Amino acid sequence: MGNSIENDHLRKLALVVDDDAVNRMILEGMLSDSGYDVITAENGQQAIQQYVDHQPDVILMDIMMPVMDGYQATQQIKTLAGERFVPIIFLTAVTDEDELARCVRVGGDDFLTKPYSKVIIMAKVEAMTRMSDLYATTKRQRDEIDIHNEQMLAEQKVAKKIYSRVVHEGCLDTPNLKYILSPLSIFNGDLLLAACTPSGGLNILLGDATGHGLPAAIGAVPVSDLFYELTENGATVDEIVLEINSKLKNILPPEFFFCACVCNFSNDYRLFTMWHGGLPDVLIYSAENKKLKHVVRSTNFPLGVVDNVQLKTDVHIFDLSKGDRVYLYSDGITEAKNKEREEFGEERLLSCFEKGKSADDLFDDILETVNDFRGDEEQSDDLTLLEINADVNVLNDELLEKVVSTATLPYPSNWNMNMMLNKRDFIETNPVSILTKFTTQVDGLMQHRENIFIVLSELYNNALDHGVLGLDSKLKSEPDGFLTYITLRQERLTDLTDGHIVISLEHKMGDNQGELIINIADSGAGFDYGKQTFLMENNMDNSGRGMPLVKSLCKELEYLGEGNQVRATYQWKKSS
Amino acid sequence: MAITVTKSEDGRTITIKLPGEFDFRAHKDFRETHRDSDPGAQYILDFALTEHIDSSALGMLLLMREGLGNDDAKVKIINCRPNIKKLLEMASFHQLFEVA
Repeated sequence: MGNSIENDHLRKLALVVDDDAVNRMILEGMLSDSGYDVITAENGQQAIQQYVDHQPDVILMDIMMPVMDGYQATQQIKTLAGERFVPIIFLTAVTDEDELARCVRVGGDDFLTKPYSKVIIMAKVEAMTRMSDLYATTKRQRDEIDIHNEQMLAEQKVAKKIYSRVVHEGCLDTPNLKYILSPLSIFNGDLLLAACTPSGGLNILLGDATGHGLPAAIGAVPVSDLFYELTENGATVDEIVLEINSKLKNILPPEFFFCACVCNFSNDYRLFTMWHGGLPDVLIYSAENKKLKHVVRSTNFPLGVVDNVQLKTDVHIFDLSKGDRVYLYSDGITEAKNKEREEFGEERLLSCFEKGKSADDLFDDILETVNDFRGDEEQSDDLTLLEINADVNVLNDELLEKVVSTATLPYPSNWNMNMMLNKRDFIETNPVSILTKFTTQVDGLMQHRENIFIVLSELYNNALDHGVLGLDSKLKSEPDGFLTYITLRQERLTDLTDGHIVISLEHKMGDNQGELIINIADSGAGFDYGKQTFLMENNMDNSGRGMPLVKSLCKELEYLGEGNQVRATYQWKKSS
Repeated sequence: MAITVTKSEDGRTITIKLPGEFDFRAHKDFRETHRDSDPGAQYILDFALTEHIDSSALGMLLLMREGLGNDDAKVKIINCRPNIKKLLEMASFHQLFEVA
């Protein structure tokens, strides 16, 4: 017995409250015969005590009693019961409506009038007991659900911590980026990643997975891993796209996919390369003219929909002027809803760009406009907006260290290697990233990875483009030059019958410094390098921004043979 | 609003009319419309009433297509409002489904 909240007796317990002993006896008899245990009380005060001591399942309550009447007792018992449902049936000789109404007001659940009929009494008592059981079951289930929910929430918070270590911010805090990430729940279905490339540029990935919450976010884990690793190795935009697509196609069920934009900014922010699959239009704003320069629509499948053979890796390439802004966003912006269930829409977004605002103010203006539109209406999707300012080369040592995470293993410090590449290799491989990775395994050389990548990249691409394919870099400086150049390059590469490039690397280690000698020879005709050197030294050439940079990085740089061979010596000191 | 399905007389063409809001809530009902699917049949998805679709809806279309044999599936999408058509094109779905 005792004070348990739920009375677990298989036999139900009834409390009969009446100041008349005869009445008490009659009712006790009827209830007993029907299988109830019975306790009694003579007045309201005793009734309360009985309730506290025994927690009856049902109470039959007289109204007029000395010491405390039925009304007061009922009020107090109901308050004591709290969330537990304890039915109280009033015993009344009264048929006055006002009196009956008072019964209900104080918490009574039903009435019994004299003369007492056993059938009626038991019918009412049984009905009340059934209701009380139902009540108790529902409450117990509700409590179980509450505990369960709390547990799930706690688990999600832990999972989120782990998730955040893998899907981390990368370079998102560089000064020339402004962004907002506003997930709908603990896990964000949108993904925004930024990482610095070995050559000092910036790679960005914006993704929007099907749905939102945990199922949408879970795909972000392998995508992040791949994105950061590939970027570190100097992979190009289309290489990153293919790897991620292949991964997602393998692991995601057919109805899940990942709308995404993968892009690269060159280290001087003059060149913007982008692959666009399924996200809303990307916008490029001219700082100088204060209006939109380009609106770029998606032309590819989202990632994870088709396999790599079917996926197009068409990239867009744009020339940017200093201060131009590029905007990437997910559909949380365009589909933001107001009270009337209207969507913000593309037109309203574009109108933000037609106000002739200064580029510095645009980001805040867009957000303000969306928030004003939405008003008090709650967010219904993950919201993501990113602005990249094509200005300021913000790569510095601090950032580079943040991104570079691979530990170096002990490695031979004096070595040489040769690599011969032909047409198939030109098309299918990227020797620059392989060689950079290989080379910078030497302890201490990792910090020089960016420089080595630049040198290898520039020299290899020159050997391929100008040496083997015979392309003229003057093409690039014409209007739409890049597109023409790339198209022509593709054609010549496809039509190539023979041609090769030999890359030789040699590394020698001193006490605290080392020397890397890079030798690249191509099968092309060569060129008048005497004249070229003169032009370069006097900033009169248009061989691109690369060669003067390479020359400044290397201890020595010379052309040999017919001009189809170049040797660069990169000297480096171990930083303490 | 519910999804309605009508079969042609010879049973070879099945028209599925989608509701005003075609989103994740329609998942179960939509699945039912082609659960015992005849892979050889021509399916017509009528978007005349549809004002909004979300990414789950696109996912459901992909799932349907997979169930009908991917490239062998015969699924036509008709009566798209301009905004819906644009969404389908942005995801290049017009290359997977016949969009009229």
